[in-house]
Amino acid sequence: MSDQELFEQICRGDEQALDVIYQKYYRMMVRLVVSNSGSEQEAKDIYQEAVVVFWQKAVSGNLVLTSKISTYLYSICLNLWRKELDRKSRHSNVESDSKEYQKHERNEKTRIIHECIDRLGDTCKKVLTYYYFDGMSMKEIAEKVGFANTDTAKTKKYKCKKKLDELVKTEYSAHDFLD
Amino acid sequence: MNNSQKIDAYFNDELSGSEKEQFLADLESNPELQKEFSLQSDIVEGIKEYRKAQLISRLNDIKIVSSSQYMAIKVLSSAAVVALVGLGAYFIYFTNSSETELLNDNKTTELVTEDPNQQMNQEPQQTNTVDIEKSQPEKSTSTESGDQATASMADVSNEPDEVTNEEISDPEVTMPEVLDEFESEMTISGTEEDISAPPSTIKSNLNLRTKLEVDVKMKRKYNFHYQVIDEKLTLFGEFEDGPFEILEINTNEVVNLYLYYLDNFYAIDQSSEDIKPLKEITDEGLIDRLQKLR
Repeated sequence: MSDQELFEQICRGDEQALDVIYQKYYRMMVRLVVSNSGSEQEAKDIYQEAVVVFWQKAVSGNLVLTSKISTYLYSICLNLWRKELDRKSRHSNVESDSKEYQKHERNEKTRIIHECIDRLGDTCKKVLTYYYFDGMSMKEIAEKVGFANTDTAKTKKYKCKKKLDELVKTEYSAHDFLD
Repeated sequence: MNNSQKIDAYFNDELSGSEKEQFLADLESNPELQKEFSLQSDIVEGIKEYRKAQLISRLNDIKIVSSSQYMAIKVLSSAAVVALVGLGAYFIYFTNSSETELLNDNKTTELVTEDPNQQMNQEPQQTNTVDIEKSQPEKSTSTESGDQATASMADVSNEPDEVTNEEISDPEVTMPEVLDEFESEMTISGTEEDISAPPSTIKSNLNLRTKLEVDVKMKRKYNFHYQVIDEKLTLFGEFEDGPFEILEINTNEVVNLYLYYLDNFYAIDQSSEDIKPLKEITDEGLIDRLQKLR
């Protein structure tokens, strides 16, 4: 399958096409990081992040492919790895207590929100993640999730978000995060 | 528009320039809005993180073919090419020089395609069919799965009475299947060994290579080199930017080997066992011929 065909499938939200891309360029991208003082695991993490960035930009319609997919992924990997190397060199000093605390609080909040999302139904999870992360339009969400029309998708998104807000507020209160 | 809707519109970049300015001004002065904004930021970020984790988990579940497995699959594909070249040479010769012989002697037209085990059992008595690799008759039973490709390649006809000139010149060839499982040691074997044919037509004229082992090694000194020792071809270098293929051309008593890699052909000189650099073929006539064979 050509790059263009794969790209078109990804733009339509086909996750299987993403799997193909991931496999296709795995070794090339991992080699890039490993040959620049990265470990296998770091290389894998960077590549996965790059693939996710590619996915998000493609699905949301914010990417016009002017080069090969491999070239695009390569540049993302390179940038991410440079940032990571930079972060590593800056963070070699011990982090201050207040930063550590902020980090802990942020992680805790993320954990709570993920638990709340887990308590939603599958349809709600899809609608919210497709809307907020993938940047899909209501029309695309309606098609992908199988709603009759965009109005149904909009209503569902509104209800799901409201439900999630309530769950998070309750949990935040219980953890004193709302003060 | 209530606070929640305003915040949602802000996150979705749906506010006009003036609306956005107004919203940011409100945010500065309204503690309630700040609180709600902070909560909504967390939730939207949380949803994004959730989806990202979902996608990464999906990617983590994908099994990546290791470097050696990848190479093995490519070499196996090459085996198919080698087998096709060999089979092509066989049929060209077969149709050109032994038509008369075939028609005169029905006994010699049998192309054996039976179960390898069965073939082994009848080996000592079999006088009207000759395995190309006669010296190693047990070979045909030793790699049962590996020989699937060979067996299907040889699946031309097992009915001696039905063989006609037309069938021979236009054989029905089933493409070999690439195996899912493969040993880490990359070996091309049994490409032609199950094809049995009249001794007078093949044995003396086609010196088909029955086993060629291909290995890829990394050595600091050698980055694009090769070495041939007996039936083993070792490639030195990464060879990871694309699949490579080994082409084998059988002429009278000579087996010429060529490597195809990244749109170029390289000759494999088998005259010495030294490690030699891979030299690109520039002879256009030969390139053209190799392209056709591929």
